[in-house]
Amino acid sequence: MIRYLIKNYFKLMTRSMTNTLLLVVTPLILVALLSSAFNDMMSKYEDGSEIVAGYRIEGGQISTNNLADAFKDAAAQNGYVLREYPTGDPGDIIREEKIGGFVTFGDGTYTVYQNNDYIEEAKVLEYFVNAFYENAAAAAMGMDTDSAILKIEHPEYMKEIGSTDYYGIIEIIYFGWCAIVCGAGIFMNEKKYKITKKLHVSALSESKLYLAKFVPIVSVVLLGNVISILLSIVLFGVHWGNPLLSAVIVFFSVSAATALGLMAYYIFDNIVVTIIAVFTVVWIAGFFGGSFETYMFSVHSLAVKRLSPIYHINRALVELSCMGHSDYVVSAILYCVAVFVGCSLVAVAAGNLRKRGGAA
Amino acid sequence: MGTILKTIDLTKKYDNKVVVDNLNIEIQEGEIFGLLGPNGAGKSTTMNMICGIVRPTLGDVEFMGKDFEKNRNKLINNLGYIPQELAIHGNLKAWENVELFTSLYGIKGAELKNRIDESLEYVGLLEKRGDYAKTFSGGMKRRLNIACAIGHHPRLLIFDEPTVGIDPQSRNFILDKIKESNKNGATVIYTSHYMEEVEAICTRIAIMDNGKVIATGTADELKKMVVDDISSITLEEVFLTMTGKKLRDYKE
Repeated sequence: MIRYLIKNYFKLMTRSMTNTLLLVVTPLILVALLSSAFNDMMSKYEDGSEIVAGYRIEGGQISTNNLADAFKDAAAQNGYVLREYPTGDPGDIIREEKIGGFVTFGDGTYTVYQNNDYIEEAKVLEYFVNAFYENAAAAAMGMDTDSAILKIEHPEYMKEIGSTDYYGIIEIIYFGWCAIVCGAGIFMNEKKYKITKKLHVSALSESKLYLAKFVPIVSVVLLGNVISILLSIVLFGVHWGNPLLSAVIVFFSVSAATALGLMAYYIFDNIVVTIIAVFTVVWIAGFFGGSFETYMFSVHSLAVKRLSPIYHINRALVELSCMGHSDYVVSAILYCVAVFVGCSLVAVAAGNLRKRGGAA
Repeated sequence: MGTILKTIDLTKKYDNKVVVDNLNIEIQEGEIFGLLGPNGAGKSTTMNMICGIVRPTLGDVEFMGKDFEKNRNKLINNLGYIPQELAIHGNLKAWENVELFTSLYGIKGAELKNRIDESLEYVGLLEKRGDYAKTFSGGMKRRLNIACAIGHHPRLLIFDEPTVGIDPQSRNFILDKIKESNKNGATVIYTSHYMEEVEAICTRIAIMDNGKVIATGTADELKKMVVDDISSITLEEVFLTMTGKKLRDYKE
């Protein structure tokens, strides 16, 4: 009868002030701080103003001209204004013209000049050129580049998202990944007072005991998330986009986070080590996934970012918020399901092994 | 009255250190069986193996005539374990603690509610059922610890030093309740370092040292093993004679 166990774990977790602070108060404070701190950086794009960059074609080959034309088309489709400057020093031009960046197209090469006074625009240009050339290289493998029309289908940079919406979404998700903290006090007590031992003097299997911990943690974290999401809407006006899809993603995200935390606890059998390990993993995943520096402006390669489940979740939710749709919804859910299944299996196996080994 | 529990060559080794060494004990139904021993003698490991928390390296435990390891899920509901530690959640109310542990044995609904009240009444905490366990005194926590282990009406109750650190009134109450449980049909295994308690309630006693049972019998029989005139010696003196006076520094 694990429902009574689940019910009482739930009560224990909801009676903890630490959980309220962690799941509701802390993310809201961070949302307020980060959205305010990065407001200047991101507000430039909230009003829909155009990003202006200069360019010059320096190569003599036909393919270079074609590539530059394709780049201009892609830029125009994404709301960038490109101005050609056939002469002059790019460094002087960006300073005198007060534009974010300048790109020169050579034969097989390109150079991006960035204006430090407009660093956000410069980073967007750098990202955009890099992404364009990646697409161009991929297209060159299988098609005639002379006639190719290259598009940036889903630019990471979206000018519609503001710092409040971005951090309002991202920080709540990030703290959801610290789900194991909800059970920390209880698990510590269970170990100290040998309650775990007493639970094992019953017919409950390791998988049932795992579920009895998993379900209440997920419930409490979801409850905390719902409260903080509602408060983020009321206090900061955060837009969460498609409510149903966002809720599904948050649910899978919390489930994966809980499974990760429980797996660490079952392996280490020590809540302090578990928290250190989980926080480290989550911090790294969040670092590459856009939890601190916006994933649009971070310099990490896309391949590294995609290794982080938090990147998929963040991107799906942010795109749902500002565009109403996202290609990352499926990958975010699948990634979370994979983490949940994998971690749960390892946790139950570790629990059984520990029991077989005889340590109580 | 038949045998309710039997250990057959029960052995536990940790990293080649033998903690329990070929232990053979037989406990009859209706007994209050005392298990004594200095720190590190192997009592707790023996208890843990009897409860199925720790797997023996060698040997078997037979419970109610069946191999416990093979029939654990069927037999476990007949076993109640009261650990030395206060295995209760301070942030749960008294009734919630009893509900949590009693429900582990498949008891639910109205029956569970009845069992919760019955267990709390048994340990004198019914009036405090709605109070948080963290607000209880040491003695009350000990009694709640017992209530959490008896709700499923086990046939064998294992008490691991249940009177540590409590006032004489609470200790007396607990000992009376153990005797009452025994009168109501429960078999009891009892460990304690308080010899007068063991002598007062146990019908048979085993003294363990270095993982082995070195003597078994009633309190008087154990005394007779040491001196002819049993009135001239206490159980504690018997214990010290058998296990020695050397300090046992034991690391768990």
